[in-house]
Amino acid sequence: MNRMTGCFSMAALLTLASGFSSADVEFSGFASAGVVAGDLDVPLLSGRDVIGESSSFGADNTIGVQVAANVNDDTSVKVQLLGKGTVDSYSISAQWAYISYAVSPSVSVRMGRMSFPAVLFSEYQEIGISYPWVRNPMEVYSVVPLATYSGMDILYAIEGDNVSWAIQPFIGSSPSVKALGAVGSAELAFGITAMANTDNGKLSVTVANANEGNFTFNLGGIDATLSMDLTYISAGIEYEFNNLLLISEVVKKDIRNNSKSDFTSISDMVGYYLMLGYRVGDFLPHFTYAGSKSDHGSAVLPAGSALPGVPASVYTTPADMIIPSNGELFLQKSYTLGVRYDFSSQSAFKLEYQKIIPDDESWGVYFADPGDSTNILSFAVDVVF
Amino acid sequence: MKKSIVSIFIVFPLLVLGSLSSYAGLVVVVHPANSMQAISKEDLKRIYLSKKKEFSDGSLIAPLDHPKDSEAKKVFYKKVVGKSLSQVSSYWSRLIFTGKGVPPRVMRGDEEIKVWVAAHPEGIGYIDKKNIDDSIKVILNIK
Repeated sequence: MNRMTGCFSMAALLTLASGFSSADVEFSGFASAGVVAGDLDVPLLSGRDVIGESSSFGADNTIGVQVAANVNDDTSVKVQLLGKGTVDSYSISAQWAYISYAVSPSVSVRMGRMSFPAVLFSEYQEIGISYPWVRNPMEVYSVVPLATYSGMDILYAIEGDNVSWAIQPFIGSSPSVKALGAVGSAELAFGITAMANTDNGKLSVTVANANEGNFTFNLGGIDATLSMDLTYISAGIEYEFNNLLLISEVVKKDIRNNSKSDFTSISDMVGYYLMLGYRVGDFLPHFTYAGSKSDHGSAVLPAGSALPGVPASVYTTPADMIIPSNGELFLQKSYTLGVRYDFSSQSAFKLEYQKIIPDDESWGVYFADPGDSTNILSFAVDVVF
Repeated sequence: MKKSIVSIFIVFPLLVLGSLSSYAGLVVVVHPANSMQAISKEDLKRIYLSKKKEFSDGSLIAPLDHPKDSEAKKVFYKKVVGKSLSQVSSYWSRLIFTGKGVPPRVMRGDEEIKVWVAAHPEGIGYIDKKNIDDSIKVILNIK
């Protein structure tokens, strides 16, 4: 149903856009193509995707096409279609579809479908050319399983002499979208981002809530649903001084389970990373250290619980079932060494080596125990047009 | 054979010198009626990164740009914004695809910029110094 509503509103926006003369309509786009090699036998969460052996040629393949139409000086309509490779197929969806109204040069209101802005690169994490890595650090970006929301936001810009400020409150709901190997939705999504921009960089703080969030996973052929309220608190910095580039983020995800959940709890989580890069002409070699940890253990199914899809009269768990065995999801650290080379002003290629080390007995960002550590080599080409 | 090598050594430096001498440097231009008499590099940078959107009298600014990968654009962004064209492209990709900014209007070159600025009080552009005429007003000499 949500998908149908999405289709209708998209069609309405596209019809509206096509009604303007060609001078009012602008097309632009971006694309990425990549190959992943290494220890991929256990699929892992990576940003908003799952990467596994079957997706080694498709996980980073993305194409986005944007149509922007100016209705008048104050009002514009934008539709951005996103096609991307996933672990089992290719999907096409409307990442953005909204009407924007400029109340004044410094205030605009947008209504429609937009990216769920929980962390620094949330809004442009599909646009590979906008950041140094092949994909954003999984320790922070795997924490946010919601890709888009439908609703409204306000972009408020305040110009200062040395610092310009941007405030972005948003509210809406998140329709069912497949991300991170699950279908996720939220009845109510709201939050606010405050950002300070200087000539050398930006500092951003976000608090975002997703209430009545439902995430359905397929576990051994059975759909099981996690129901919870989520709160994200994140801070990020991007700073460039001469040739030195520093990017760092930390995000804390708080989970409050509700009674509809097939699972009883899952760990709260903190993810963080620090990236340092140094520009040498059109080359940007960089190094990233990232980590994630749970605040406390995660008991998944206590003794006496019914299994998802199996009536309690048939079977209940004889003892607490904890996944993984030490109850610690997402405990890991990773090192990434990479280089980005801009071979033209609108295209870049990236090569990256990543060593991921889950803590003892934790699964890290993997779907099963990956063992001591895994090594991944990624190559990607990003373009913007 | 020798002659052609000699001619390459003579002709090539002359060609390079010739192309350098035809490039007189960039100037920033506005409509003659614009009250602005001068602009700082810092303000210009903020205008071209869409961080400053209004003139001091509150009217909207319409910055104009050269085609992608043109020599004038390369020099302008290096000297004024302090970024390479690939960095500029990365910067705009974040704004364009999130609806948070509109890049400067791209014109075909100096002549088109002059015509547009001469007809629009909100226009601001940069052109080669040698193409200055009375239809526009120079507010900054980019060194």
